[in-house]
Amino acid sequence: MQPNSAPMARRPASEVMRLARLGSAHQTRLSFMRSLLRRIRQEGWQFERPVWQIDSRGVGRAVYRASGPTHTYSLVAFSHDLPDSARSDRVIATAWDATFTLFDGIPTETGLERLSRNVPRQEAGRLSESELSLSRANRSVRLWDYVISKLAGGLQPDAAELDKVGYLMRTTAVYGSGKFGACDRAALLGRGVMEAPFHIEMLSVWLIRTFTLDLVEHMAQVAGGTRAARLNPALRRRLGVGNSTGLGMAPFLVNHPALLHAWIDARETAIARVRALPRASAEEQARFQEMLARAQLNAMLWTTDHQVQQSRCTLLRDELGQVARRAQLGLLDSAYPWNQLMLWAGTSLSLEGQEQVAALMLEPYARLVDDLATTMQVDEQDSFRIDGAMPVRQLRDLIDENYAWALAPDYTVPEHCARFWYVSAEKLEPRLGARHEESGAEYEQPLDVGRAIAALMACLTSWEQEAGPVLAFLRRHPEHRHAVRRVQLSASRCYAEIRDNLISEEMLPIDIMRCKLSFFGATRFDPRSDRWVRICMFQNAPFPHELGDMPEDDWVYPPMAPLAA
Amino acid sequence: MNEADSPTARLSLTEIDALCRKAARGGGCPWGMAEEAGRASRWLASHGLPGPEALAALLDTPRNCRCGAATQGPGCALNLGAELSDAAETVAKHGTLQFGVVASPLLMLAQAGQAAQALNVSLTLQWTGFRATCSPDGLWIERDESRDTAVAQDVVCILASSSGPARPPASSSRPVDSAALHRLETLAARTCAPATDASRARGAGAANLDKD
Repeated sequence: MQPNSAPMARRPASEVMRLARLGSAHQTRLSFMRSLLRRIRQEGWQFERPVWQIDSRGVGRAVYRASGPTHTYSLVAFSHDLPDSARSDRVIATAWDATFTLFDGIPTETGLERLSRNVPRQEAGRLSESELSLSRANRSVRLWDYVISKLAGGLQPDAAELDKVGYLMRTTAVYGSGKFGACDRAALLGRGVMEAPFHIEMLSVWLIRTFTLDLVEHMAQVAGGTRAARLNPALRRRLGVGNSTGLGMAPFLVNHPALLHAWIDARETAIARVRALPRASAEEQARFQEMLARAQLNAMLWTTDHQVQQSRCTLLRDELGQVARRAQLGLLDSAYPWNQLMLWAGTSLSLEGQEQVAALMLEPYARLVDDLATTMQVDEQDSFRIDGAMPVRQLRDLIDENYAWALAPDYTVPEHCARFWYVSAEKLEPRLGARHEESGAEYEQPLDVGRAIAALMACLTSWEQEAGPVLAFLRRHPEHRHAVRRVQLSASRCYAEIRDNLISEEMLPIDIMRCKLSFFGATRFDPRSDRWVRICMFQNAPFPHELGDMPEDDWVYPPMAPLAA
Repeated sequence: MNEADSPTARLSLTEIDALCRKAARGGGCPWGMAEEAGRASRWLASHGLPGPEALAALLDTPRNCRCGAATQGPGCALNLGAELSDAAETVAKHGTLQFGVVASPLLMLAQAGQAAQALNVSLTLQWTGFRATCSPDGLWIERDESRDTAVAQDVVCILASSSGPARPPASSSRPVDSAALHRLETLAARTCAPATDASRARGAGAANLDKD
């Protein structure tokens, strides 16, 4: 639905694509956890747990079945007995508390046996085209034992204790898209909701959450027998699935520029549509006020030991208070209220506050923005081929137009080329090296986008046939083929590039990760260093058995009062 | 042994793309050309053709590679495939482009296919004992006796006025010959830095066990 009003431009890439702003991104209505649960609720999916073979030590297997209108998917969970000393969140770990795969269809007993020989070994095992994802999780030891002891004694755990951690297990990797022999994305065309990016992974995590709650109640039952209590449904919903994300996720957005553009473009289009509204109805204002209050609660609950994020959270709480006062003083009654709000936020709030406001003002407008969720997948083949007929002069103009940020730094200065991205032979883990202190720069991955474009431009400047085609240049200079592809791809996709130097001394990898995680739908980012971040997924979300009975898409910001059981 | 239990049996298209990109890089290609290698192998595999095998053979063939120092031997199918792709508009306009002697020419079929799709034309790639036409609808292979030849003498790309019964890509995975797979993995491994205690501790950002 298009608004009946003047069109409003999307925010320019020069503003949106800076790393500091991407690193302040918040989830929106278009985030994948939300679009997944909206779609499967609207389609009336059915859920059951046909297999629960878990023994008194918590070891065994379980299957959760999700049936949509055209396809059925099964989360197959393997639960293990892991000694505390072996519990590591690093991708180089080799044992976990639980391991999972999302199976395409309903696995047979033989199929489950095959999976039981492969899924617990994770990267060392091998999947088939019947599997759609591979993941593993570790317990939060302190919360796990605490919840079992309370429930076993017939008591409910303390809500404040649950909130301190927020999850019973955290996933340390969720692989999809044809990794380790699993089903390729190409085979998911025509799968409806499961075609959308990362929806396979999000469905996996949402079902894993149910498994973690079922397992903790099972263990409490074992320990407490008939005295044992079930967890109160409202307390249950307070628990999500933790996720620990390291550098491995960071290269993704750089390696998938057309996809990055599609995600950011959808979000910016949503913001522009709402800014273009000439007025906000009383009902829309009320919804915004409610979501603002819940966002304030969310900011209060957002705790971290990371000092930079701590001060940003403190500032955010204050700034959301300012937004609330502005709203009470009638800002939303003015003409083009959301545009007024954005303009004011742009000059008065931090990046953290600005991005939170932009996300919040989409909340009252499901009918105006939710359709954009279907524009967030792309066929990367469409942007791969180089246009060899393009005149060299035009290529140079495109660089001038879109890559001023790349041409600005002097890459011979040590701090502007201080890092190099590489892949370790150990489980193929992406890592970041210090160029002037460590060896290994010869293994550098092409994530030095700015420097590569600057080198291309230098070479193009001395290329004399500027009216001639790019193909002649590339025949002579195949080493610039990667950079030429990026420049051409960006010509029609303004949000394809992170517009900052990714090998600079000052670059913070957690900014890249936060951007991606915000599109997943994460909140309350908890950086553990400048290259490692913890989040909690699906906290406060309905469980499968209650999805149809709860209000649609109303869970991301915490409820103001504890919900009735 | 179940196929899925075998570590080397069947690769998804995503795995083929990634492995072949890394192998080409490990074999000395610049990144942009390595990307072409990944995409070409993937395209061939999606049409049921031995893309990874063709690449493994190419990377072990002495050839005239513009990316490296060598200037002797047959032309490199990655270089010439990229050239075919870049110059496809010229073929569409003028009708033909000669490539002469080419090592692992099958790889060039992928670029012809991608260009045909992008420009909405039909392109025939042929050499003695092989002839295939790529159209926006898919691939039509007329002759394939020398499909897997190590070196073809007379590779040419021609604008076609029509195609036979074209087949769209139908596979999302493909079994890869174990010798080729091993070779590609060995080359791909050259792109990875050996792990050290320092990189383990610093490079990824965390080395501690979970205590919470």
